[in-house]
Amino acid sequence: MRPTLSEQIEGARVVLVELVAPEVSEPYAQEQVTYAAAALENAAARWPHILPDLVADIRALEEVLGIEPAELHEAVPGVPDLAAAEEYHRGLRARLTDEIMGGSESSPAVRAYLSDSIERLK
Amino acid sequence: MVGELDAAMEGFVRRRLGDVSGLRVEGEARAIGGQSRENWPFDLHWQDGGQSHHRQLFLRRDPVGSVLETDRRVEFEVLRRLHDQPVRAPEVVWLDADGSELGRPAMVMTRYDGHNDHFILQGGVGRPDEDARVGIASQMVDLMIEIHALDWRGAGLNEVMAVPDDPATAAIDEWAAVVERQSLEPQPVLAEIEQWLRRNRPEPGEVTVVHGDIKPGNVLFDGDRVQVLLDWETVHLGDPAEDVGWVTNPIRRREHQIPGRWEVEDLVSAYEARTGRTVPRAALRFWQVLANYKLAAIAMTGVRSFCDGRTQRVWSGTGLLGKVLLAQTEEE
Repeated sequence: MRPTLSEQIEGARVVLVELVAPEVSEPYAQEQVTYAAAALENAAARWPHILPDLVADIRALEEVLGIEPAELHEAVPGVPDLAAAEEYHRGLRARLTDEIMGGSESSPAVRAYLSDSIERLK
Repeated sequence: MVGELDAAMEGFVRRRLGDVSGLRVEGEARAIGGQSRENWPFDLHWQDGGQSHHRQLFLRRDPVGSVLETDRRVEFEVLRRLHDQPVRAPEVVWLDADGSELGRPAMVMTRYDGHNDHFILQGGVGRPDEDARVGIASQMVDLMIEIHALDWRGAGLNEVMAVPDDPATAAIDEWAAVVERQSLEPQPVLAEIEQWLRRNRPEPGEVTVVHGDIKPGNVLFDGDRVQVLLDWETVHLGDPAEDVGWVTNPIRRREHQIPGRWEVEDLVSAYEARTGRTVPRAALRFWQVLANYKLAAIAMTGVRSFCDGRTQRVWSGTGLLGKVLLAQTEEE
């Protein structure tokens, strides 16, 4: 569907940068417009990847925690429900955090998961 | 200043100056920089005893949502006690500790002439030549040494700041508590780093004043001369190697280093030669990791403020810091 959500977000960013920013004279406000434009740029680039990256992270977490892959709730047939997936993911991350806080040194697999997850969840 | 703050400031000043005439508060726009406090430069004019007075001042006020929750009363009391000490700290003038007069906790300080330049060591705005930049970098070390040499008991700083038995553990506990308090979701990367810090903490040693945020961006320069160090909100008593770790933090090398001329070993060697202290490299690594753990905690505070709708700055996540922290704590 056009304009896509990415295109709409990018359009809003262009309005901020090209129309609003030049009219803002107060330095503090200028700084905030810059941060807002950067956030829109990030959102436009990231949102299409959010669900697939979240599911990939869930599978990686299950593996590192030694859990059987769960069946994810589906919003429509074949498409996981984002809110339910986020809640399940949060539970897995909490479980991993508790394991790490147990105090013993983490395995290379845990450290590898942590590093990869930063890329997936940025 | 905005109208409401202008009016509050006039009342605030009037209660402190007493019965003077011709009082005028001339404010400027909120200054940029400083994610943790609102900074408002202003001029004060008044007449008293037939004489005209003028002071250049600076209001530092807690924002609605900050990245760093610190106590203005502590910062004010430390700076008040440092005023007659051999350290280039700003003069504080008035305090509204609980925000009952200015809306939120705030303090008023003397405003100094001079320029602020985050990246002066890379050339910054004034474009000093390389030798001048090495001279500035060297002055930054002297500034740190000045702070670490303070007689904190003599200045009464232990009356307003805790004296840690074990500075490394105290620092981990303090920032882990911030992570715990500010987290909106589980933080396995920061849990991993906290555990690394606990396994690798240096033994307690000498306790000195630690500024906690020494950087060119917190300095006012007069040409190539370091004039005054601002922003003492993270000041505490601790291990002097903490400041050395902060200024040698790899992700802030553009602020503190000059490639090929002033790198980590130059900085640490200069510090060691001028103080007679040794900074064990394992301890330096610990404090460099702690520096980024602290930055991650500060960023998370910003994220929470943003998600709670208490700040106008739009925050993204803390992913980059997590990557850096994992790389810093890889086995060597």
